[in-house]
Formats: sequence, structure tokens, C-alpha cells
Amino acid sequence: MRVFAGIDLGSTTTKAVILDEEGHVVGRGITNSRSNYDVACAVVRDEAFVRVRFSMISEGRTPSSALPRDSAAFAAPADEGVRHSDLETHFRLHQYLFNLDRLRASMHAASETSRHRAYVRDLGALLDHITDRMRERAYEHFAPNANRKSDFFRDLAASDYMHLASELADPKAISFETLCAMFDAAILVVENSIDAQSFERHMSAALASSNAPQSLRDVVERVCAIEIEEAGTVGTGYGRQRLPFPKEQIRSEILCHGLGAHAMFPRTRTVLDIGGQDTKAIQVDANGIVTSFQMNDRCAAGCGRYLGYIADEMNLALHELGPLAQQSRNHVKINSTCTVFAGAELRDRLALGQKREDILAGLHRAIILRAMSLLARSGGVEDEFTFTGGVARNAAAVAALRDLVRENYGERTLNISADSIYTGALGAALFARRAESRIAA
Amino acid sequence: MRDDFARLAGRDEIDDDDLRDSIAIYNDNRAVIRDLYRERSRAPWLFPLSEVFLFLRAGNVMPPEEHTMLLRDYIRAARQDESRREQDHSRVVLAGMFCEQPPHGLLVTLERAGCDVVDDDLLVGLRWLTRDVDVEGDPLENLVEAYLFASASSASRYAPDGDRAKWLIDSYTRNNAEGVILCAPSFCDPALLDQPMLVSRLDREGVPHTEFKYAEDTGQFAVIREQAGTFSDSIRLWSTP
Amino acid sequence: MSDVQKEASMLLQKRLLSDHFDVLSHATEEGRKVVYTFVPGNLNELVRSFDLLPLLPEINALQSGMRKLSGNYITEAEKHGHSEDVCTYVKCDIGQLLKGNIGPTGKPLPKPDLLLLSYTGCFTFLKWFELLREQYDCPVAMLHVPYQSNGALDEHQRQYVIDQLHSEVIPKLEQVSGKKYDEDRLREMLRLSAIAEDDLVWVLESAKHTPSPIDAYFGGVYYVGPIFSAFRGTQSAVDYYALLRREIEERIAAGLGPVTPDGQLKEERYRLVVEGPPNWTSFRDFWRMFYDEGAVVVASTYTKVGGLYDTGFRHDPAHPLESLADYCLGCYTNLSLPARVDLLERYVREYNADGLLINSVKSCNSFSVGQLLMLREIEKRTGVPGAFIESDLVDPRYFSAANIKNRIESFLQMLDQRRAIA
Repeated sequence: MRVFAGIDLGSTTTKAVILDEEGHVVGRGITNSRSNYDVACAVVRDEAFVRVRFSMISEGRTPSSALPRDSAAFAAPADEGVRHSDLETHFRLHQYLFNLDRLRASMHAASETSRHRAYVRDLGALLDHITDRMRERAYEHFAPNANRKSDFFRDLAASDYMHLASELADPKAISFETLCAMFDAAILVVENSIDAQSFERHMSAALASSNAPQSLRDVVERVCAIEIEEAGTVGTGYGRQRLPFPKEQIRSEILCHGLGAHAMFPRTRTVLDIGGQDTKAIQVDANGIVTSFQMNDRCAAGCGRYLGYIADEMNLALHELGPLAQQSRNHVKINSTCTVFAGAELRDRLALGQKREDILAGLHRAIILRAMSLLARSGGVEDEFTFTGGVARNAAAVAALRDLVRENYGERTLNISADSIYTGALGAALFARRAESRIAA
Repeated sequence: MRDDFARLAGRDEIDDDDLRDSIAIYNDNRAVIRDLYRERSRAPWLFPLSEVFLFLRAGNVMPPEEHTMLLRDYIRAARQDESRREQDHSRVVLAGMFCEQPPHGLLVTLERAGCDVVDDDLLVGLRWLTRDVDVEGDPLENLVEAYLFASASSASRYAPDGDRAKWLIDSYTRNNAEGVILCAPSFCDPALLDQPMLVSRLDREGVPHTEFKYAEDTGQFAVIREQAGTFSDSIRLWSTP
Repeated sequence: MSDVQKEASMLLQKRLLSDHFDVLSHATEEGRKVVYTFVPGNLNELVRSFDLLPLLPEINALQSGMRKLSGNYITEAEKHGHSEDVCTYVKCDIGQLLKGNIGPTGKPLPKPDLLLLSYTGCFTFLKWFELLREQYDCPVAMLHVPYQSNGALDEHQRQYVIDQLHSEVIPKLEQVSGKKYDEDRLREMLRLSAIAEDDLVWVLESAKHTPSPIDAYFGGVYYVGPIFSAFRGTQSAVDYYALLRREIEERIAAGLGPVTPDGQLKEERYRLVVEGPPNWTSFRDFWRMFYDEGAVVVASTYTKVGGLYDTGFRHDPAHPLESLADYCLGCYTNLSLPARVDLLERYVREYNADGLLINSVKSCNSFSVGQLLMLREIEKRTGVPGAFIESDLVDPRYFSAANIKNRIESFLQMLDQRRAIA
């Protein structure tokens, strides 16, 4: 089976999309970005290929049968249905446990430095105790239909670890700071190493622990035997100087994003992407080719990171900001969003008696106003208008965007996809496929 | 310009009498603004800057005759308002925001920080001509004469004699001010490039001063409040009487 | 290739510049009087006809930028109260002054005997010389060149400038130099200017060839050096442009593209028009982002900032003061926005460009205002795509190589994709 891969190295997350020869999405992967770009690429690629295999398994695929085709396949890969299947959940569990073992080993290594010599045995025992408890927690995280706050090892592990560490730390003996330091050192090691045999290992463990029937084992064996050839790869993403690809295989994130959005919504003409660290306004033509673009790549205001600062200041989780903002009943006008002074401004306004939800609503509108300015600079908002990036999942931001677009440009069809985080990687994969067909032609 | 305006107004021409009438109306408006500024300087607690600014700004969006009446009413009402009391504030001259209008909150912040603004160059367009324009004689000549020789000082105007700070020092003296605040909008080359020249002159004359810059339409005043407050305090606590 | 490739004309213009700095460094001891003035609106022939030496602070600033000295100068100026927002040429100059006024070639610079404030196309010039006047306490001659808001030169404006030449500039030049105005001498220099201008325009228009034998932006800044600075009206300029023209003629005959710091450009893949000044502190890195991709600039507006010659204007010995006035009025940043758009449109068409790139400079209001509008308008009129990058003149803190490269590469890939579909 020949496939094409697109990899998008973002500032917060790294994504991969796998397309088959007909251009349908057969696998996707996402992982948190990390300092070693090569590892991030390898990990996300692995993730995506795991998905490919699972989708083939779920469809009972054999070399002679084809995956069912949906004409709107770009909206979501056909494997979504099996996301919580028993086998896959077990697979994920074993992946997690494997990483947890590596974390344990790395933390022990970190504890054996001279500065902890005085209490290295106690520290070691405590680390074991914590990781044992984390192991128990793991089974809960990956129980059928469990609700995990994240699928990334780093997030889940950190959350559990910190919780346990604060519970078990003793300022007079092993302090919380010491325990944090162990985790911080170890997680980098875990994140930046690749495990070559992971798929086979975790799959056999999963088959065992899920008591898979023989029929399923047969399917798995057949699927694992299918050779998947990566016929072409394109990489994209911020800070592309260090992308681990040859130059010919790199495409600008602007172009990838534009083409990806076009694939998801063929009638789109304007695309707005508010990412963590930058914001892009892109105009595309009927073929998905970019005709003009503007970027804010130098100011945190108007980017997703700003909301992160606000969330920190208000002691809320990011996903809580939108819903709270939507409770606003009074208009609070906030004109500037300089991130540096965000905290001070917030405190000032709260002191003036303004309500949190009203301030938040004003802040959301302020961010979108900056995006409107960028859009105007790029050529305006044409029909249809696609909104991508993490901030697109924030209902208050979307509402503010709808209002401002209507006020300034009239009615526009606003496209938002839950999968918009994959837009860049999708575009990259499409470029990979296009390049291959051009060579072949 | 005269022809262009006639065309815009849908008229055949604008004659000398039309111009003279208009000049007289604007002379009145300028006179009442001068009165307001004089009264404000005498008793700034009766005429807070944040209020004066709004009343002046109204002049940009209403016929001058109405504006003149509005301002007379305001002056009267403020004088009679017994709830306005003198406060232990510092008297300052505010300069640098002659073009890009500051957000209202900035002016409120300055006053809350303990500054009574006794003169400023806000909305300087309304006070561009510093005396009445002659109503007798050739109105265009009179306007040109006034524009060339009786118009306000500003960072955007060339000072042939090199004395950039003249109006500021004059104002400081005339209004019995205790300090000068230079506040410019970001990216304003005229005001920002002027500041070092004004500052060196203020230093030579021993005039206390502080400088800052604000971003257009900002809502973030914490830093300005700190700075203006410290400045105001320092004048009151450490200046020699 | 470790040595940067240089041609004879490149070496000549470098020598002209360094000789000029030498002469300036001896000016005071030799009793020669010095006039500071600006590139747009520079009255070089008039100044030299009085045997006065011209000094251009803008050239000092950009040279400091290229030699990595400007960063420190700017910090020094900011320590003395200058805002981060203002023109970095000014701050570089003030900082240089505060640090002993040593010029970019390491030689001391003389004090001005006169500040010739030719107020042309840039308001900041006014504040710049007010600041210098404060430092030097010397006379100022203010030549107010009105903005060409109507898109065409009108007789009132020309007369207004001529009147000032008579009433303000010439008397002050006479006073400073101790000589009387010599119109014959002026005419002779203007005659030489016109000859050099003919060759300059020929060189600029050589970029209409495919492949273009020159880069009209990065290479272009070297080409306009002599005519924009202290050499217009001199035999040196005539000789330089004649030499340059011959070199380019040979390149065309051999079908060669431009010379870059890394050698001969192999393949012209993209033809671009660029609007806006270049970045000086990362000049070579910036250029490399273009030639590494085979992108050649075939026309630029920056090479008209000190005078627009490729629409027919020449200095004219038969009408000395009139043509000096016309020259001032016609400098690029003194033109109305519509006139600038028309010029850009002309360049895109006549030079067969694939795209327009705007380098928007943070601290330069004269160029920057309206650039987004220009971008949209050119896209609309010509159908070629535009790109927008942001940097600065001489403040190294405002050149983000990664961001700029990202935008340029995205733009060039965009051009590729359009070609693939077309």
C-alpha cells in the first residue's frame, strides 16, 4: 500500500496526516512538540501509522479489499468509529505503561546524581511508590469510555505525578521541588527517545490483555503483514530551518495551510488561522493555491498564547475561558491586548468592579479585532471563510468572529472543523501526493 | 480651496462676506475656548481635563455657534457646582498629544494620579489660531496672515529661531505650573523626536518634568498611573516653594 | 567561495566613497567648509559650485548599518532619551555624534558649517536637523519642497522652490563659503549630471532584459551611490556611470545575470519589483534569501528616493534653478500615493515582473504609509501577487531572519504554484 505523508511541526503540537493514492485520509497523528525535531517527526509519524493500521483492522481489511470510501472523506478519517475500541484502548494503555517504565528508569537515573546522595535510597523508594500509584491510575485512564483530559503521555503523566508528589512530599524530607525536578529531567529523556519496536510490542500486549478472539488476531496478523510504503513526504511548520527533511520536501506552512483548508472546504476563499504563537490570514483561489497572505509572527497579542496568559492569571483552564466569556451580559470594551500587561489590566478591571465574564468577553473580542485587522490587510473576508487553529475551538472567539465579520463584510459562510488542527499536515500530504503524481506523469 | 468648498457646498461661489461671517463665528468660538482655558488654569478643580476634553471634542462634530453656546453653559455650570473642591494636586502642563487623541481613560488616570492639568495642547486644531482673525479687509489675506504668524506652536512645525520649547516654558510660567508632562502617542516622529529637545531645555530652566508614551486606543494605564503619581508626589514633596 | 566577487565598477564606487570620507576628515584642518544635507532633494551641484563639501548623514547611517556599528549608536541615542519608535537613521546619527562623531570608515567627521535642510518627501528630516542644530549651533537653510499631492508638478510649486533658492539657500551658501553665486559653474556641473543620468537610466532599464544583467535593488543600491551622494555633477560620476554601463553591456552580450556576493547568479527563476528601503544591518543575509532562490529584483523604488530619472527628467544646464526645483519635487517619497502606485504598476509591466514585494520599514513613515494599499492596488491592476515583509533600516533588533525568510519563501512558493496551475 502506497501512502503520502504530511508532517506539520508546530510550536505546541506536531501533526501528521497520511493519504492513500486516491488522496483519502487513512491515518492521522498528533503529539506535543519537543526540542528534538527528528524525534517529534518520528513519533508523530509512528502515531499516524498506528492509526492507519487500526483503521484497517477495524474495517477487517485484507489486501484484496478496499477501505470504504466516503466522498467527504477529508472531513474525518474513516477510523474515527474505532477510537474507543477495546483493542485500541489496550494498545494505548500499553504504550502509556511502557513510557511510564521509561520514566521510572529515567527518574532513578536522575536521582543518582551527587546532590541527592544523602537521601538517594529514600528518594528512589518514593519514586517507585509514586510510579506504582501512577500505574494503577493508568488503568483508570484507559478504561473503556474513560474521559482523558489529554492523549499525550506528558500531560497525563505530569498531572498524575504532580498530584501524587504534592500529596506525598514532605518539606522536611523529600520536598515537592525535588520531586518536580526528577520529573522535569526524566520527561525530557522519555520524550526525546524513539522506540523502534513499539507497534509490535504494544500490539501483542494489547491482544493478550484484551482477550482478543482468534478472528481478530487473524485480522491483526494480516494487517500487520501489509507493507505500507511511504511514497512521498512533505514537511512544514514554524522554524523550518531545522526541519529534518531535504529542501525539496519542505513547503511553507502558509501554502500547506491554504491547500489543507481548501481540501476540507473546497469553496473556501479566505482562511484565518490563530495559532499559539502566530496568526495567519490567507486568501486562496479555486484550486487551493494561495493568492495573498499576511502574518502576525512577531507579537503575542492576537495569538492563542495570549489566552493562555489570561487563563493563568485567572487560575482557569484554557477550555474554561470560552464558556465563561459567553455568560457575559455587559459589554466591556478592551482595545489593546498587550500580553505583557495582561495581568495588570485584568486586576485593574476586577478592582473597578467589572465582572470576570464581561472582561473575558471583551478580551475575546479584542483578539478577534486584531485578527480582523490582519484579514483586512490580506485582502478582506471572502465567501467562504474558514477559521482554523486552537482558538477556533473557543466558542466565545467564534461568536465574536461571526459578529465582526457580519458587521464588516456582511454574511459569510463560516467553516469550522473540529479537525482543523490537522490543516497544515493535510496540505503537506496533498503536496506530497501532487509532487509524486507530477514526477510519475 | 475656496472654489473646492463652493463646489462641495453646491454653490456658485463663496464671497468675501460669507468668509467674514464665518471668521466672526470662529473668532467667538476661539474666544470662549480661551476663556475656558483661562478659568481652568485659575481653578482646575472646577474644570477637570477629562471633562474639558470631551466638551472641546464636541466642537469637532457640531456647528461652531452651537459649540460656543455649549461651552458658555459648561463654564457657568461648573463655576456654580459647589461639590467641586480644590484638591491637593500638582499643577502640570501636558504636551505631546496634539494630533492623535488619547483615550479618555488616560486623562482620567492622570487626574486620579494627582495631576491638575492647567494647560495642554490637546485638540490643538480648535485653538490653532492664537488671536482673533481680522474681520475687516480681505478675509483670505487675513486668514493667511493669521495662519502664518499667529498660529500655535507644535512639534510638527519648524521653529526658525531654534527655540522649540518656547511655548512650553511660557505656558509653565504663565499658568503657575509646577511641572510638565510630555506624553506622545507611539510612532509619532514629530512629538517623540521633539521630546529630547524639550527635555534639555526644561532641565536648563529647572522645570520638573516626566515623559511617557501611550499606544493608540490603549486600555492599559497601570504604568502611566504609577509614573504620573510618582511625579505628582515628587513635586509636592520635594519641590522648593 | 570565500571572497566576495567584485567588479571594477563596484571597486570604483567603493573608492569614491572612501576618498570622500578622507576628504571630509581633513576638511577642518584645511579650512574647507562643510554642508550637511539629505539625499532626497540634494543640491549637490549648487553646493559644490561654491566649493563647499557635502556631507550626507543618511549615508553615514546606512554605512554604519552595513558595518554593524549602528546597533550601539542607536542604544546610545535611546539612553539619551530617544524613543524606540523613531527613525533609526536619526538615532544612529545622534548616537554616532554622542560617541565622538567618527564616521563609518573610522575617520573623524567634520562639524557642519551649514545645515541645508532640504525638506523633501520626509517630515523627519526637519526634526533631524533641529536636533543637529541644537548640538552644533550653526546656521540652517530650510528649503521647503512641497509635497506633490496632485500627482503632477505645478508651476506654483516650482516657483515656490525657486524663490527659496534665491531668498534663502543661495544667500546662506554665499555667506558660509565667502563666494558669490556662480551660475556658469552651476550650469557646467548640471551638464555633467545629465550625462551621468543618461547612463544611470540605461543601467536601470537594462533589467528589462531576460535574464536581467543586474539586481535592481541589492545591486542597485551600489549603482545609485554616486548619484545620490556627493558626486552628482562631477566628472567622477560621469566616469563611473560610463564604466558601469560598459560592464552591463558586456553582461548582456554574454547573457549573464547579476553578480551576487556568492558569485554569478546561475538561473533567474523569479523577477520581482521591490518597494521600500533595504535593510542595511543584515544586507547580505537579506540578499541571499533572494539569490539562493534565483529571485532577481528587476526594478525598485528605493533607487529613486534620491531622484527619479527614468521617467524623462534630467538636470538641465539651460534652466539651472528650475531643474533643481523639479529634481527636488520629483524625488520618490515626495510623490503622491497614486503617483507611486502608477510608477509601480509601470515597473511591474515594463520589467515583466512575476510579483511585487514590499519591505515595510518600521521606523520609516515616509515609505511605509500606504504600502498595504499599494500592495492591494497593484495586485488588482496587474494581477501579479504581492508579498509584505517587515524589517528596519539600521536597527539590528528589528530584523528577524527566520520570519522574513519564512515570508519570502512562502511568497516564492506561491509564485511557483501559480505557474504550475497556469
